Amino acid sequence: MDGTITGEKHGSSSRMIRMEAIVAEHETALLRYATRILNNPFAAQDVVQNVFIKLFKGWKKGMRPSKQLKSWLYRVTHNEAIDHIRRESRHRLLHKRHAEEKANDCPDGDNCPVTHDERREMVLGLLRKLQPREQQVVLLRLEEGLSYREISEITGRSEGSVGNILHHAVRKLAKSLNVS
Amino acid sequence: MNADGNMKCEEIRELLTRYLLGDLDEATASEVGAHLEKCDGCRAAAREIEPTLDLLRDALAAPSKAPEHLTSLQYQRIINIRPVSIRRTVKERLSRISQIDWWITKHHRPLAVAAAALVVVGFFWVLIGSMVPMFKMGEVVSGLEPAAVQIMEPEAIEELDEIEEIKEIPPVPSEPIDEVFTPDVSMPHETPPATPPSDFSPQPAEFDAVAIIKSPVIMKGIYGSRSPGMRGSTLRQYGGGMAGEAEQEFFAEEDLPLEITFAEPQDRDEVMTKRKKGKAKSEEKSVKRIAVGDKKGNESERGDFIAMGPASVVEEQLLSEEQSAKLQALLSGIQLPKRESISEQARREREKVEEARKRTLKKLDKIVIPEINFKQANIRDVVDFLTEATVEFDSSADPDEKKGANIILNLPSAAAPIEPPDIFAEPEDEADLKSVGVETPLITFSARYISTLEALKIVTEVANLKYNINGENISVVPRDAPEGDIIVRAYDVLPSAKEDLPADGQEDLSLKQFFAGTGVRWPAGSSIKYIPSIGKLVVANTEDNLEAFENVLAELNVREEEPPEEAKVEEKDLTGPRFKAVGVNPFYSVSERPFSTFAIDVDTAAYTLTRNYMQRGFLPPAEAVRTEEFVNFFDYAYKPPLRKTFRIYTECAPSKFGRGLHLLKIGVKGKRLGREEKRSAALTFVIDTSGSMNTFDRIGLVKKSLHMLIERLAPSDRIAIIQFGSHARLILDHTFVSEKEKILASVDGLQTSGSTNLEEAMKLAYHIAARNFAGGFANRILVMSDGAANLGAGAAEEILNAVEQFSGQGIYCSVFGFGIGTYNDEMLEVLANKGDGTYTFIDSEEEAKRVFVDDLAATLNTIGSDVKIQVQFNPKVVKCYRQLGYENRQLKKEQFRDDTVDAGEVGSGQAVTALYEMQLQADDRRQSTEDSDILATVRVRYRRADNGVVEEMERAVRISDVMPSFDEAGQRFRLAACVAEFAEILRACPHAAGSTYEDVAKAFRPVALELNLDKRVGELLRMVENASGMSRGNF
Repeated sequence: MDGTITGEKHGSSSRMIRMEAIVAEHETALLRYATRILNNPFAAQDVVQNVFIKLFKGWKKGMRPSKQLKSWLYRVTHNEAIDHIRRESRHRLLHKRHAEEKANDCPDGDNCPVTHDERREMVLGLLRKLQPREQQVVLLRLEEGLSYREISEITGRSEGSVGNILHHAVRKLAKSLNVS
Repeated sequence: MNADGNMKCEEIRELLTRYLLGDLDEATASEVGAHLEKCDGCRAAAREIEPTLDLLRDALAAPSKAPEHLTSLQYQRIINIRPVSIRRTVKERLSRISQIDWWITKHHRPLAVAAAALVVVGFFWVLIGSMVPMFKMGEVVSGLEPAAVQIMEPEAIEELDEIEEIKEIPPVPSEPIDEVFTPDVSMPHETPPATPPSDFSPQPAEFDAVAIIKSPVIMKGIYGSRSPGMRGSTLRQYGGGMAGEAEQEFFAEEDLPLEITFAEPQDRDEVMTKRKKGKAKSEEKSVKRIAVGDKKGNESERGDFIAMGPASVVEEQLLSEEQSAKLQALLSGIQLPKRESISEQARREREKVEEARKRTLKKLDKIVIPEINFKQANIRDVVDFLTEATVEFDSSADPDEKKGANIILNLPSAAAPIEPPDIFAEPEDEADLKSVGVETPLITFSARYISTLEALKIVTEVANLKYNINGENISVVPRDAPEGDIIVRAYDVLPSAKEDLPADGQEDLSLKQFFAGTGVRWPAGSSIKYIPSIGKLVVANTEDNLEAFENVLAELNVREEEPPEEAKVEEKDLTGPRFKAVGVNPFYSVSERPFSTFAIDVDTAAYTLTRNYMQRGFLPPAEAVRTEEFVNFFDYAYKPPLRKTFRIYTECAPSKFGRGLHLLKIGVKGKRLGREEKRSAALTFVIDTSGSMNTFDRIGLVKKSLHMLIERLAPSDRIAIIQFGSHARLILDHTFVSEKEKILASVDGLQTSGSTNLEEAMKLAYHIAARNFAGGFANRILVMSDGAANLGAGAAEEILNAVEQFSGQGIYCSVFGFGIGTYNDEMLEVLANKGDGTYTFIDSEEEAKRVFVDDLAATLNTIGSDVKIQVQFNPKVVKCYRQLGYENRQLKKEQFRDDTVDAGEVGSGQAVTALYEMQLQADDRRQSTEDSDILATVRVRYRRADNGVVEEMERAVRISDVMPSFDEAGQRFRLAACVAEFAEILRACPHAAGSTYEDVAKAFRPVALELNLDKRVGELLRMVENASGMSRGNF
């Protein structure tokens, strides 16, 4: 068995090296991105794994990562993460999560964030409640630091529309922050 | 935009976020700015969202709990993906499977595995509809065969060949039972009251009615899925069962792990290191092979767990080596409290319980059940079967002893105090348990000649339960059931380890995982948290587990135990600049210490930094002044050697400032590379785009510098750009400078935001640089930062180690500091030192031009590395000496010829100047011998960059070379003396006490006059003249 395995590995080694390089280059950013959306590092790892599996399944001989690779990865990660949430939401886990986030909502005084960390958590909780596309744009711009052109590549929207979504997302956040 | 160029309020408001983020182009931004001046409404709108943006940025800059990497198992899975084949459906299933067993292997936590049973249940529901609990007791075959045990593997059920193979396994020696069953770390405490099912009777007769299930899902009884969502998808996936052929393919593709091994508790010590492969292991003491099928799997040993999985499982569960190394380092900072010894009585009580436990264990191991064949059997039935079997097959010779053992099933019901795991979330009433309850795990497993103990292990493992032995009672409980009351204990954490610990109150899974790997269990309700406000690591667990935890800590913690004192945290001022005082070289007596050895340093940052301070009207903090960097900033007009790599220049004259002292100036000049000698450059820029860089003298200057530099590079040079704020990202992979427009567009597109994650940036930079390493090129990383890095001490060290390692392999690192205020001088200098690069502070466009245009060749082209200088003073001539500066570059005498010692690097045409103050012996005490003419011998040792050869050269300083007076010495000599004295006063050097800036100015004015063409000299004169009126700045 050893013989066959090594033989095969040798044959596809250059592809594997390239695959490894792609994973190494993008995994951290994608994991970070997915964790923000899912608020669950393990689910994020799962999602990112599936993204790479999706990518390499379609890999053919001699293929090279194109310039759009990063955009593709971000886009698919977003979709997979949203899928994951939807899948999850059919089950009780979501209720649990809602309950947790409710606690962060700061109704009248009791749960109001006191410490810096609590405030951060609240902001992140609110961020997760935005529409997926709003969340996407906010994260890509403010956390990942991507340019509008890159975000437009990922989302398939025009740069102007990315800007507008961002603005509305920020305003939404401002509103909910002011209410609480 | 309106035709007249004025935008309406609505349009403006849409742009506000982008305006505040600085994302608009200049024209639009100025228009919005102008509008905001006039329009109150829009200003209010902007004020409304501005704090939100700040909050958002702040929240996103907080350390993310995101893992940095996929697990190695996931990684394997990705890498092993083969391109789409014909059998697409199988492929799709494959990806599902990978998800499922990922869940379990990743976590291997009780909760995770709990789902397994339900998968099986669900499967059965779909497949058979209804199910009757059953098992089969095989006939007793008089024991001839070795106690090889096998879990029926789907293929193996049919393929008898495989079973034959199993028989070939060498028998496991059966003697060392005592050794094998040393007590579990997890000692059971109290067994909750048992509720044995009363209405059950074995139904072996029904066995024939059950179809043999051949589907991978059966094996998944050991695997599991973690969330209900996953469960759902699994059901969908396998609801219809798999066709035989597809199944074959499935196994072939996935390389499913089919080897299971047991490790007994005492193997725990080895757990961390064991990475053995193959079958040979089965002959070793306590490890027993339970099932063998495909050969791919690694042995995974982990306490008394069964673990199965592909080769990477071990790392998976035990963390990667790197991770555990880091954790270990971190944990060694946790202090163990001194514990009073347990009272004698309690101890005896424990021993008694322990003894009974050992007896029971031994007994269980001796009772061999000839054959077990469970097919989707209810756990209750299984337990009852086992209880009966212990009685039936108990061949104990001792008639006094009670036959058999009492196994009690204690699963959670609604009333149970244990919080049920998700999977048991909707327990049905006790009355329903008789039927195949959804909440009771089903077990499929067959074995021959298996000891009850092993059977119990497998059964509980498969059903995601565990067994506790308390005296003579054996109870089967959910795996996460605590074995006693949860106790909370707090451990002091050394301040040094604090930065590595996870943020406030957050539970750290990696910590849990780490300890789980060393055998500490984490039942429901347990936790491990670090609480910074009290500086303690708070661990909640049962007493036994806490003890195990402390044992692990004690092993990791080599330090002497210290009384649990309130840890003192040094208040660090994180906002101000940080400089490290390096002390001042003392006078050494030549007779005692004739050699002065140091690594060269061509940095100049301290000078430019000082200049920046003084231009703002302040003197720099004393610690920010490094004399050698002042001296090296100036040009001493050494002629570059033509052939050799270096040339040594020496000059000596009475000192102007130290009474009765002589000053020795040593210059080492590197050759200037011709055009054809210059190597092409592969440059990886690491550009700080954190929020603190967002001023013109920082990011603006960085962009200008890059423009200048790119203009000077050859088309064959390559550039990559990494920008980093809260996170690092590659904005331009290695691109030839011939594509200048593309590079410049990337430079101009740099936008600032976030914090300063230098750590991530350096990791990425070395990754990119290594990937694009070009032989024969000057491979270099250029860091441009204001140095306000949010680095933990541990992280800094990690980076520095990596930097050092890479520089040994030819990737150098140069650091350019920009901006002042939050400037972390120390960090950047060390970074450059370790990276064998220069550290330059850039405070102005002029300085940028000097570094990136005039001295670019020196910056990029190294001619010699590990350059060291040794001066041997002649005790007959020199009484004592003191080196000015180079305090943090001192080497031991013997390190001079040790070529492994890391030292400084010199670029093309660069020069280094070192100064010594000496007290000479009185003339009459000099003995006129042969060598009495020689004052000192200067040696330079270096490694040539072009061929890697280490060379050494030397030059003697003769008494006849010494100038009779300071004023007769050369202009550049006097310049150096003044510069050094200025620096010495600035850094409050005790040897310069009594000298004033005015003294320096007085000596310096004639020099400045003679050197009036050198702009830097004039600038220095102004600085010296202004210095007396200034006070020290501290920001």
